[in-house]
Formats: sequence, structure tokens, C-alpha cells
Amino acid sequence: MGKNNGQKSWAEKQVFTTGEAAEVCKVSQQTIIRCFDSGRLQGFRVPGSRFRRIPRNELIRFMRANEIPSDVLEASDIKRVLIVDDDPEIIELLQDAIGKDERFEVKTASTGYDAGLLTESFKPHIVLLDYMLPDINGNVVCERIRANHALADARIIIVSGVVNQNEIDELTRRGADDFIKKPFRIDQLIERMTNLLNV
Amino acid sequence: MSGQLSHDRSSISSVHTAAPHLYADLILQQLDALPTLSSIAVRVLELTSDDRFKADEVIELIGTDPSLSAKVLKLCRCSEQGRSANVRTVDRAVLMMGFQAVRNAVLSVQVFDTLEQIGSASLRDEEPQLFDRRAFWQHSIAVACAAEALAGTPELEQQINKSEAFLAGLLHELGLLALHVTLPAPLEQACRYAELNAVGMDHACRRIIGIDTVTAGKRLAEHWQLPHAITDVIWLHGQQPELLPNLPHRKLIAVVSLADSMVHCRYIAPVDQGRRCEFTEPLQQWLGLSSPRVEKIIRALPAAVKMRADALGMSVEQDAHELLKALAKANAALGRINDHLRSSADLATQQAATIAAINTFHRTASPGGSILAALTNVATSVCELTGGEHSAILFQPKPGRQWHVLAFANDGQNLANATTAPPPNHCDLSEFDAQSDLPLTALNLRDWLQASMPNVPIAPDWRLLPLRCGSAVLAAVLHRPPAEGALRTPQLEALSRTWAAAVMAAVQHDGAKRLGEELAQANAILSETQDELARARALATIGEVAAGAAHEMNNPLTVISGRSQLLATRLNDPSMRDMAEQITEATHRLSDMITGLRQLAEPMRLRRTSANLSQLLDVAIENAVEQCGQKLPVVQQLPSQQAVANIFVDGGQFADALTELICNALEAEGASQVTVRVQIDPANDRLTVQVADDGRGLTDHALAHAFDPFFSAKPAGRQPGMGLARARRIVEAHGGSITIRNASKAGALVTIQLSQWRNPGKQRHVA
Repeated sequence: MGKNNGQKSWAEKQVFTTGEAAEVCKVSQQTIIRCFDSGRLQGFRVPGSRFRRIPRNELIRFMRANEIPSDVLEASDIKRVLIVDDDPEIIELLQDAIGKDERFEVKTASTGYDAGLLTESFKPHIVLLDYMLPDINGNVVCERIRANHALADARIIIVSGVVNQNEIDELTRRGADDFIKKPFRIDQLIERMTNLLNV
Repeated sequence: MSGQLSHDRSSISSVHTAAPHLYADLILQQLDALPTLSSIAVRVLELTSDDRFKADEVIELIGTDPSLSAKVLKLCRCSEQGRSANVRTVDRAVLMMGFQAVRNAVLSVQVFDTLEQIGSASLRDEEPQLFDRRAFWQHSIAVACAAEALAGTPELEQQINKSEAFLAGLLHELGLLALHVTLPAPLEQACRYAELNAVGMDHACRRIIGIDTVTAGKRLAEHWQLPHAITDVIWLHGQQPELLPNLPHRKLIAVVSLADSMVHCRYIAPVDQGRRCEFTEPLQQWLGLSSPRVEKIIRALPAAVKMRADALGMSVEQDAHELLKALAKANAALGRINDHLRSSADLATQQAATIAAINTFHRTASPGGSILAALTNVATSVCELTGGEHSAILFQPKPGRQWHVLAFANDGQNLANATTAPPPNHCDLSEFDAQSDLPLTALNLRDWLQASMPNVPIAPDWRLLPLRCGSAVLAAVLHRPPAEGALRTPQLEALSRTWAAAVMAAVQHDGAKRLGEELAQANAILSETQDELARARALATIGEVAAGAAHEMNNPLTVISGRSQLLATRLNDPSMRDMAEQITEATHRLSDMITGLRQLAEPMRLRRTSANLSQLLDVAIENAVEQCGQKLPVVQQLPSQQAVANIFVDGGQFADALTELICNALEAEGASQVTVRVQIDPANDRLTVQVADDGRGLTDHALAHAFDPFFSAKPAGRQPGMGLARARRIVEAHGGSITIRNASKAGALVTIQLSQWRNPGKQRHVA
């Protein structure tokens, strides 16, 4: 898991109180409450009380809509990496190669279905996606990720042993950012990842 | 009845003109349509056919017709000269001469009258006739008299009735008369045929009309229900007595035959019957008659004939007059035969000349020669026959094509040879199919022809003779009119068939030869296509294997590679680290080979854009030097920068192909320099890129397999051997070709040829 470095991290916070939201947005709590009550900031009240709660996605939307810098929410240097491959030895290899790097937090999936579930919860910064999966192919996974607004900034690198130029073009059209052929040089893979993530 | 008759006759004549032989049935119907004998004759025949007839009835019947009675009595008196002068009534005649004689006299008179009547009505006397009706009757009466006289000799008196012999003799050529009455024109033709070809009338009638005179006569006799003996005489007279069937009246037939033969030898016949005097002797002997007796009968014959003719109402001219007339007639016939012979001889001479010309033509013609050789032969043959110094030929191998105009001197020298569009208002030579030898001026061809071959003089009187073969006109001969004594136009036309056949044979031979060549070419293409197909199949199989291998092998290779990389980071010993690195390298090379194989097999997609070949070459040389690590000089020979500044290829792929070729050349054993030469062939605008090294060259085995995947002539294990195979794929995807051979001086030479290299959207740059 990534490190906190003693600072308050909003990275994994999913629901915010009005006070937390005010702190993130660097405005007064009253302003947040006003916006909440007027409907400009969507949220819910805790059942059985009047406490206001704001979901993370809505807060990010609000901040972007009002041009408030949102990097504070993602302020952590640690990049979440989702590895999707049906070959356990490849997963193990990549975990060993990337997971050891402190800049990355790694989770893995061995099917397209698992990958879909994990992208929702894990919200990866980058997905290393094998093209040939047992249930659905990489291009479909790629398309699903791109369809999710919450994952708009996620980067996708297709990793495959059998992809021809036509398929690479197709994957690019469906939202893949890069393609890397198996077998690969680990240092090159990491370089590509860091380039894409501006790390 | 006569109207009906003339109508039927015209219908028969039309049949005759339609076919050389008339149908026997039609003629027989025609004969059956002739008028029957008069009612008196029929009644006499009916009454006398019954054994229990009453003479009174017959006498009374004849008595009802006074003119008939008079003729019958006159005839009777003639036959019984001397002792019958007092025969004045019919019943007296019956008493004196017997009923049979009177009956025969009635029939003679009736038949004669009937046929005379029809004959006179049907003939136009102004037309000169080969068949002389008057002469016919004279002949018939003469035969009748002779037969009667023969029957009256002591040797035959008991066996043959004189009056029956007279009647049989009178009617023996009934068929000839019947044909004359029913079919005058065909009979005339048959007479002419018999005269010119010296054959008998029977033969001529069978040939021209389709039925002989005896059959026609027999048919008419049956139609008139004449007595059987008479019918048989009509049918069988003229035959050798030994060959006659065993009939009761064989002697009568022989007597009439002998009488006919006697009259033919010494008297006048209406037409030459082909029955000659040589029959007289055997007939005489068979009948047991002596020559003096026969001679005596002959001597008495003219007088007897005159008397009988008078009795029948036909005047006979004086002997001398008759003789003169016969001489004149014979002279006329002789003249006709002479004319015919002269024209036949003339024709034979021309035909002999034609055959000689055909022989000469065939001697000079060589089978299997070219079309030009055949035309030359024809032209020289034409010159020889017409006496011309030169001739010309129009030739059109197929309808719709252009015309070839060729002129030849009489020694076969080709004076002109032009290919041109057909003259105005003409399209195909087959238009001349319906025409024969015609003057060029009449066809409006002379000026056009003279313009087509200005150096060959064409006189205004030149003619065009189409050469027909079947329904086709492939060529036409242009020639001066035949000189005096040379072949005439009809013979030239006959010869034209031979010439046409020779030209047609040459054209067909030429076509067959060309077909053979095309077939060989098609076979070569087929063989190449089959090789191509086999290669494509092999590639497809490789592709399938490689695709499977790529998936199944790249994952383990990834693990090996990745683990060895991780291992290397943990090893402190540099040599150990190198080992791990080598593992990594090897896995990557193996993976690249699999990828290369797969790319080789899968369809290549080109992205053609405008590219500068010079720049592509720079890139390729740089890549190649980097790739193979050889630092040999690479010399470029380009036509001009501008000429190749805009080629329409997939730049990346094409540069890859060039890289492979240059790399291959750089790695050649013993090479010290690589030359890249670019040329544009001005003839076909083909772009050629050659990559040559100055090494030791390749073995035959290496040349044969240079483009096979994984083949490498270099020491094993150094290179995957995919470079040239890949270059070939790229060049062929561009529609070009690539070949490799050893250069004449040293080293290997790879040549790329591209036809479609210009940008179709841009203007062509001229070097």
C-alpha cells in the first residue's frame, strides 16, 4: 500500500463532511453549506440526522465546475496501477517488477470482469491490459474504462504478444494510450508508464 | 381436254426446269391424262376382247362412221394388193381378210388420228424441232409395212398375223410420240443430248426426263387398253430375241425389232434410236429368214410406205426430195455436232491450261509457309497467267480489321506493303463476295489503291478478283486484264478458288501457330501462378502457425525475459549479470522471429503517399549500417534528385525493404563496397532499383532460395534469414518484382522493378 507521509491524504476518502469539503476547497464551511442547500453541490443527509455528506465524485465535479484546483484530492505521489493478465506468472512478474517501485501501488485482475470491478473501486491511474483475456478482449475493457467519466484521466497500456498493426489502430481508436509487445524490457515499460503519468 | 392437257404440261415443264430428272410418277400421270381413243375404237376393242363377239355388231359400228369406214377399207386394200381390189364394204373386208385384220386396221386408223390430232394441236411448227413428227410417222409406217411384209413371208405366215404385225409396227414407238405430245421441250432436250453425246434416245430420255420411251409407250398402251401383244411389242421391241421372256408373241416382237432395224439402216428415222443395223443379222437368223428375202422386202418398202401413208391420210414426198431433205437434216446435225466439238475442244484446252496453272502453283507453294509466302505465290501465279509485270493483293485477315495492300513483281519481289484503313464506302473484303472479276475503276478503288502504294503503277484497266474460300473473302487479287492467248477470266475465277484455299490454309496455319505459342505462354503463366499459389498457401500455413506460436510462446518468453532482467538487477558479479542479459536478448530475438514470420504471412496493408526516394535511400542506408554494424561505403547512383523526388509508395515499408537489401549486401562475404543504382526505363517508365555488392556472389542453391523465410547463406545462427523474404513481400505488395542474380563481374545483384510508382494524382515529372 502507498504511504501517507504524515500528511492528510484525501486520496481514498469517498464521502466528505461539509467541514472537510471546505478544507479541500479552501473556502468557509458556510459557503459549502450554502452551496449544498441551494443544490449547486449535490449530496445527501445522514439518515436520522441533518448532517450533510458529499460524495467524492460530486465534490470533484463541483470543484472543477468552479475552477477550484482539485489536485489536493489526488495529491499523493503514489500512482495506482491495475495489471490485467490471465497468466499468473506474468502477473507475478509485473508485481515483482512494478510493485517494488515505491512510486506505484499495484492491484491485479485476471479477467475482464474482475478488471471492470476493480477500476470502479481502485480508480487506477494506469492500466496494463493484456489484449487476449479469457472472457472479453482488451479492446472491450478499454472501451468500458473510457465510458466511465470518473476514469477519464486513467491511462491504458495494452500489453500483448499477438497484436498486429490493424488491431493496434483499433485499440488506439477505442482509447488505449500505448502499446507494448511481450516480451518487453522492464525498464522500457516503466519508462513508458512514467511518461504517460508525468511522474 | 386440251386445256387441261396444256396446263398439266406446263406443270411438268416447271418440274423439269426445277430438276434435271422428272419424277416418273408425274410423267405417268401426264400420260394417263392423254385423251382416250374414240368411242368406236374403244367399243371395237371391247367387242373383240370377248370370244363370243358378233361380227355384225362390229361391222355395224364401223359403218356408223363413213370416213372411218373409207380409211379402213383403203388400208385393207393396200395390205391385200391384187386380190382385194374389190373390197368395197366393211363386211366384205371382214369376209375377205378376216375379222382380225379389219379390227387392226380400225385401231391403226384410230390411234394415228388421235395422236395426229393431239400432236398438231400442241406443236408450234415455226420452231425448229429435232423431233420431226412427220418423219416419225413415216418411220412408223415403214416399220409397219416391213413388219407386215416379214409376217407375210412363207417362214412366218403361219405364226404371225400380218395385220397385227402392221399395227404393232405402226405403234412400236408409241412412247416417243407420247413423250413428244406431253413433254415437247424436255424431249427436244433429250434429242439434243442423244445427238451430241451419241447415245440412244432411251438413255437420253432416262437421263433428261427420268423415264425411257418404252416405259412411256407401254403406259399409254395400257391406258388405251390396246391388245397385250401390241403392248409387249411397244415395251420389248429392240431387244435381242434370246433375252425375250417366253411369251406367245415373241416372234411378233422379233419381227417388229427386225423391221425397225431394217428401216433404221436404210430409211429415215425420226431421231437416232441407237439401235443399229448389227441387230438385223441375228434377228433374221433367229426368225429363219434368208437375206435375199429380207432384201426383197426392203426394196419393195418405199412403194408400200407411200401407199399406206396415203391410206392413213399422210402424204409422202418423192424419194429424191426426201433424200435431199434427209441430207440437209443430216448436214445440220453434223454442223451442230461440229460446233459442239469445237467448243468442247476449246473448253478442254482452257481446262488443261487451268490444271497446268494449278500444278505450277502447287509446285511453288510450300505447306506450312507464312501468309506472306502464300500471298507472294498467288501474286506470281497471277502475273504468270495474265502476263503482267506486277500484281497486287488486298488482304484482310478478319472482318473489321484493317486492309493490307501488297504489291509483287512477277519474280515475287515485294514492291509495296502497306496496312491501311479500308477505302471510303468499304469495310470488309467480303463485300466483294457477290462480285466476280471487275474493273477497279468500276469499284472506285483505283485512286485509293494508288495512294496506298504510290511506287507501283496501276493501269486504269486493272481488275479486282475476289478470292473466295467457303463464305469468306480473305483476299482479292488486283491484276491487269489477261493478255491475248492467256487464260480468260472464267478460268482465272476457277483458279481463284485454288489461290483462296492456299491463302486460307496459310492464315489457318498462322492462327494455329499463334495459338500454340499462346498456349505455351498460358502454360508458363499457369505454372507461375501455381508456384505463386503454392507459395501463398505455404505462407498462409506459416501465418497460422506463427499466430498460434506468438500467443503461446510470447507469454513464457515474457516470463523468461522479465525474470532474467530482474535477476540481473540483483547480481553483483558482472559476468553473471551478462549471462542474465544474454538470456534476455535471446528471448527477444526468438520473439522477433515469431513476429517476423507472422508479419510475412499476413496480408500487407500499404499506405501509399508521396515520398522522396533519395531520402528513403538515406534512411535505409543509415538503418542498414546501424542494423548490421558494417561500415562499408554505400555508393548511390541516381538519375537526378528531381526525377525520384515524388514516388508513390508506402515510404516506411519501402525503406524497410531497401534496408533489408542494403543490409544483405553489406553482409556479403568479401564485399568492400555496396552500390545502389536507380534508373527509370524511358521505354516503359519502369522504376528500377538495384543493390549490388562486390563480394563473392551466391551459390546456385543460395540464389534459388534467397527469398525463402529463414534461409541464410551466411554462417548458421547469425541472422534469422527473414530480410529478403520480407523485402520481397513489400515489393510485391507494391505491384513490383524483385530478382536476385550474380552480377557479371562480382557479387550479387538484387533488382527491384516497379511499374506503378508515379503518383496518379500528381503531374508526371520528366527527368
